[in-house]
Amino acid sequence: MGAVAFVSEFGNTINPTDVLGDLMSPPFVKAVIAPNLIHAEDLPVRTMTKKHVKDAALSGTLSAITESNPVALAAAGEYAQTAVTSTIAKIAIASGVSVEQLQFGTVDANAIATKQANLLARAVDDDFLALFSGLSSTVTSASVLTVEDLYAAQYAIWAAECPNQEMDLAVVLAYKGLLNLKKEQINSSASAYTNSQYLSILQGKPQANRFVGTLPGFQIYSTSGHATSGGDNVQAVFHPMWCFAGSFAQRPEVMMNNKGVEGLYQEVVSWFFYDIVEWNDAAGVGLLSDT
Amino acid sequence: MTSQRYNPKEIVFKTQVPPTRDETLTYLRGFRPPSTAYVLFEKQEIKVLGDGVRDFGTGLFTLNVEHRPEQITKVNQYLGKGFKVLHYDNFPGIHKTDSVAMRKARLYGGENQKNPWEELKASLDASIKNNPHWHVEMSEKDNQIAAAEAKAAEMERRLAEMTEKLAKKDKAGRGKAESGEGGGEEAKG
Repeated sequence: MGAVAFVSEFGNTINPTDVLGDLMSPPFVKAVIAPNLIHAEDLPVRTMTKKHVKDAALSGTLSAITESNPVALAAAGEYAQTAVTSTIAKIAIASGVSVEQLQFGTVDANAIATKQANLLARAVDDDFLALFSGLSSTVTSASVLTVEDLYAAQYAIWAAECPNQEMDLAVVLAYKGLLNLKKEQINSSASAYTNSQYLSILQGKPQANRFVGTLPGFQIYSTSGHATSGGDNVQAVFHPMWCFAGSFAQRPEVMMNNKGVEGLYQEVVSWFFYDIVEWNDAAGVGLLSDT
Repeated sequence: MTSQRYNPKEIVFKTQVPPTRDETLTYLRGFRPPSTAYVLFEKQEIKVLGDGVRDFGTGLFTLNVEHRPEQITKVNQYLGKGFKVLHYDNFPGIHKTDSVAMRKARLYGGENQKNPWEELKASLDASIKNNPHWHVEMSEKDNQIAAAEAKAAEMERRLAEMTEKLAKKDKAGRGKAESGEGGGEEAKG
């Protein structure tokens, strides 16, 4: 039988359109990891540069001095500090929200400012990740990343007499590198991998700052946006206290201006002052493995 | 300087200054430069092998200067570690055809429109010219140019000689023909 005539159907009435679901999915963007993994300080006052000082030790060969002989001044007795200079720079982003959007839409200037703050934070993170390929020492995996590569990097850092060796080293991997570590654990029949200490990265769940677990001697983080070199991701193993240093503003600054003749919109500009530098080259090792 | 945004895997990325070691060429093969402002360094690398042995080699290091042109202290820090500037590109400028780059240069230039990337560029150019390898490369190029110029001068000299010879031959032939024709007329007369 066909459709019955004269029934009041859904299309006969004026219905609301564009009704939104209760939940909006979040944007798929990476989390920020840098601030926890470097030595962070406030911005300098009345100058845009800051010296991150490296203390020196007296070094040299000392020989015994016979009785009644004087001690001469020598190179071993000269004390000289060095420093790495950071120059504070600003990153900035500008957006505009039309008066129509403000009046009828779902986004206001405050929401845009929040998005801008997140973008600025990710830009800081990208700067941090880009410093990895500047580290002089590197460990290159034969193909994919292995646990052994992490220990080779640890060896290089410790052999350089990096202080505070009682602390776990930080490892910032690309997701592919983390996958390869997990696969190594799953596929290995070595008894070490029945030890729960080795299984943390398999059992753990990534936290908001992308901390994914530990291996003995390492705290492991995983993120995206690493530099690449010759088909390898440039990841890093480093000492969280002594490898990188940074100066940061307390928070991003936001400026909101109403624009008239330019187009009737509200301008939202956010900026952030900071710098991150490689403080001690010997406290970090680049870790190159297949992309 | 041309941007090489797309670089197929088999092509070696052409840098302003050639790398000091052939190993770097392997990393430049298929290297895809960032689409943002950057400085590319050839770095001196200590390669730590699995058994703790250390080997010396080179690698690449890209310094992003898109949002942060005031980075000359960083450039100096890396130069101090023995890195060499190989290339830089995509610096924002108010005369750029790309409107985004132009806008960025204006935003960072402030009221007096002093483009901070220009200062960085000047420092990088100075560093490139101080690179001994660049001098070797440039002197090789100068030698090549001098050899080409000498070859061109030799060719020109030979061309001039041949032209002169031809002109003489032509003149002699014409003189002969004229004297031959005159003789005929004389005989007829």
